Amino acid sequence: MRQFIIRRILQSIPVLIGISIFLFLIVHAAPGSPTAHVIDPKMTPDERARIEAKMGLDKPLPVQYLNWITEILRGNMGQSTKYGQPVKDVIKEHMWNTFYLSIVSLILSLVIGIPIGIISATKQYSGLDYGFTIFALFGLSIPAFFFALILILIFSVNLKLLPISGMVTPGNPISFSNFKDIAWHSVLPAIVLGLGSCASFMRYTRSSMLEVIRQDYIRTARSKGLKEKVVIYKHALRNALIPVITLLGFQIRFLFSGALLTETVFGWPGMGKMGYMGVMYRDYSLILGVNLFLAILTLIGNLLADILYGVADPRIRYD
Amino acid sequence: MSKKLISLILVLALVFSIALVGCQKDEPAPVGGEADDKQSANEEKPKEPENPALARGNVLTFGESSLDGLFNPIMGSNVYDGYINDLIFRGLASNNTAGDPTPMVAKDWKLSDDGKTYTFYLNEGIKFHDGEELTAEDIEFTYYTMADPDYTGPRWSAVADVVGAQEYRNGEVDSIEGIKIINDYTISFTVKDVNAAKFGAGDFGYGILPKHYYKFENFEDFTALNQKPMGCGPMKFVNYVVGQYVEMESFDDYFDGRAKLDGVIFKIVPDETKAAQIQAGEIDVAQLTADPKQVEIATKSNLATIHQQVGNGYNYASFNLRLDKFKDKRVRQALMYGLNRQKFIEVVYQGYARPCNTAVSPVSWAYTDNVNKYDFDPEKAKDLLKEAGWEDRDDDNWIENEDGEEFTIMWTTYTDVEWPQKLIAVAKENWKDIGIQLDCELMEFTAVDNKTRNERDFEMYNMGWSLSIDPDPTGIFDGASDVVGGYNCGGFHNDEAEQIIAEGKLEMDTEKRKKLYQRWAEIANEELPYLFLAYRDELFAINNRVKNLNITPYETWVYYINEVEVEY
Repeated sequence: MRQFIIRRILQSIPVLIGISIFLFLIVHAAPGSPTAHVIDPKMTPDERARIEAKMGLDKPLPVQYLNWITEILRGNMGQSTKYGQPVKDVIKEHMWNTFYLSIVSLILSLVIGIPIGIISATKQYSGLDYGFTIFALFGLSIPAFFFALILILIFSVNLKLLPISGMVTPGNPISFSNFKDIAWHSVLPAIVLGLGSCASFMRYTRSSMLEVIRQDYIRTARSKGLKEKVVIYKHALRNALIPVITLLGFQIRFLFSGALLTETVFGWPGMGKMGYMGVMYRDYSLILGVNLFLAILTLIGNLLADILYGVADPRIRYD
Repeated sequence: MSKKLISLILVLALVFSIALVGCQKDEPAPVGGEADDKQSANEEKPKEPENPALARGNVLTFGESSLDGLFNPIMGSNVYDGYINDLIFRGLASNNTAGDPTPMVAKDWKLSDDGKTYTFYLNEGIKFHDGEELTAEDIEFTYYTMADPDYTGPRWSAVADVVGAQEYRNGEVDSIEGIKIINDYTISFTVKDVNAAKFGAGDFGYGILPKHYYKFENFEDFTALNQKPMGCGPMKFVNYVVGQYVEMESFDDYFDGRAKLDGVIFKIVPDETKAAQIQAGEIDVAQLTADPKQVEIATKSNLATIHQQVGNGYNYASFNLRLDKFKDKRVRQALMYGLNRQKFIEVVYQGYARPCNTAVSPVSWAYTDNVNKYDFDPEKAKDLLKEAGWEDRDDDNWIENEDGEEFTIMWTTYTDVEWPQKLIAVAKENWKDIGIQLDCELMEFTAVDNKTRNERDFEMYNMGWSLSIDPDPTGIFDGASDVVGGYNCGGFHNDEAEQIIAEGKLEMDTEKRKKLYQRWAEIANEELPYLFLAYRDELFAINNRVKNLNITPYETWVYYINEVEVEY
């Protein structure tokens, strides 16, 4: 097991180097530069060129890449041109907001998605199953943007139950002491964000459960006279969860990457919106920093999923 | 069937019940009006005030869609960061409704007889938020910083014309010859060339940075203070929560007297729900998109009224004048006559804009109505094209020149906002009637900017300008700006305009300048460097509890924050 983990970590080093080169090239291939957002006739081309030279953008690309990657290895992610702060601070300020919202919606979708997936599978073709399937299709197909606006219209504007946007009431801090206020603000965004993943968890659980309960060992378990509950929840579920765990492994990245549309509609200060603004403003250091961070998380997520397979299914061994 | 229906209803109920369960368990804090323990007076108010905004107390909440967090008057370039900077900092001079300079930190100034030396006499006893007094050294420091070799903010232009600034920036000298401290409360700036547009360009309006706080030993430490601003303005910075709000409180020792408000909050609200938040009273003031639907939403609850004004700017589509087909001004005029701009404005702005015919805004003192209105007239357009050698020679309804080339236009535009695509749809239809084929290519804004300004590889593109107070068009229509990376990307050259631009800077008499720039407006109207499109209106929704909030095109409301009052 330990060997497996070490091997996987070593394997990810060349992958990361490849990703960093690829990212760097893509970011610099986009038209425009970090000063492009200063639209001002008083900004002369000479002055623009001077500022860009100060940022090191006048050097050949390979030199720029080496400068950037050396700084990254030293732990310096550079300065964000849009936010006027070190990239590290910008990411730090946004990632926990995103993490909080994602974890709430993830728990919400797991707690709802997996049980209704199981129920759907065990009661296949029943009214309940059809109901849940319609719900899943609804959840997967409704645009988050539209759903969010509908919820805002009903619960915030008409019923005045929940705040329209934001993460806190102005004047309150983002901290544990203010948890109630934050929880209150996160109800709608968590529902919108959770709906889609809830539906896909439900679909995955249902189909893999259906596959498993047709296996011979389930018939054996039943013929041994085990109670249906034990058959389903002890023998079938454990095997049925493997694809769900893969899905969960991918979700680790999404815990931090954020959801652009949901964050935009609800004014949630998360990674999705921030990364998007970075791209629109050609904030090179910020785009590179955010994406490298997410790339590392993706690799970690995949590794964790591989390890969790072994936990869920003892037949899978890593030697 | 009915079974399925029931399960569907059950499922939907499940979805919504999550929200409702949340409501019952948590204590429903009234939205926007947090329980304020300090003010017991609030408890005596009726439980459900008609206007929920009243619960927020003596604090004005302004809703806006984004902040960069560059709270430094010489670092930020975003309008909204600008509001905050104007509240926390104050510059040497400000301006009034007419756009004329008015005293601020400087109580008075004098211009030397040769028109090159500005001497400022400062108000005595101005205090920064930490209690230190503002002196000429702080003014010097602020303008030296803009000229520092390590400074990469956007404000170099404010000192670029000061004697010795370039040498200082090159590292050749240790001090700027043209900036002289005469005593603690007097400082002078000497510029290389007379420039009548200097005040109107805002060069003396940038907020003064306290030297003892900002220091500028290196650029990193300087920018590290971006989110801890300190100036001498009417509002003191309290707190910034990224992506959420900026909190400010009134500064007791503000040199012009303490504001009537206790503070100002800038709340970041998504554009999608800005009008809804006005309707619900969650914010007091916001600028709305010029759209009747937004106005309807914002005023539905009768909590807010709309302030509408013509903005100091215009939307345009630029020609690439280097291309043969656009060189003849009759062709450009034909395109103007052949486009139903009135209809475009009705469709897109629905009453919140008017046709624009020249490069000067109606709010400017240099505006003249003595211009060709280019009312929609396809016949006239066809005649003009014929005169210019474009007519339908092979009866296919498209016009050709002598060589048989058809008139086609590729319009480069961006998808970040809606109006360009709606405009192009109207133009495609209209120009088809005069025999011109229009196609468009879509990209995002920065890509359009790069393609037009840096690569200059385009036929037509559209954008908009927000103008400064002074009508001097340097930087947009002068020949010197027709360089790679310059804003004269269409390549407009006109001798008379060039002369006016030069004379306008030297002429100190406002009446004479007015005549000059009115002539410039006529030239722009006749020569059409741009296809002028629309003067947009600016809309602000203001909660009825807010009093004396003055907004005019030249003065943002933050200039008059001291007079603003709210009911509570």
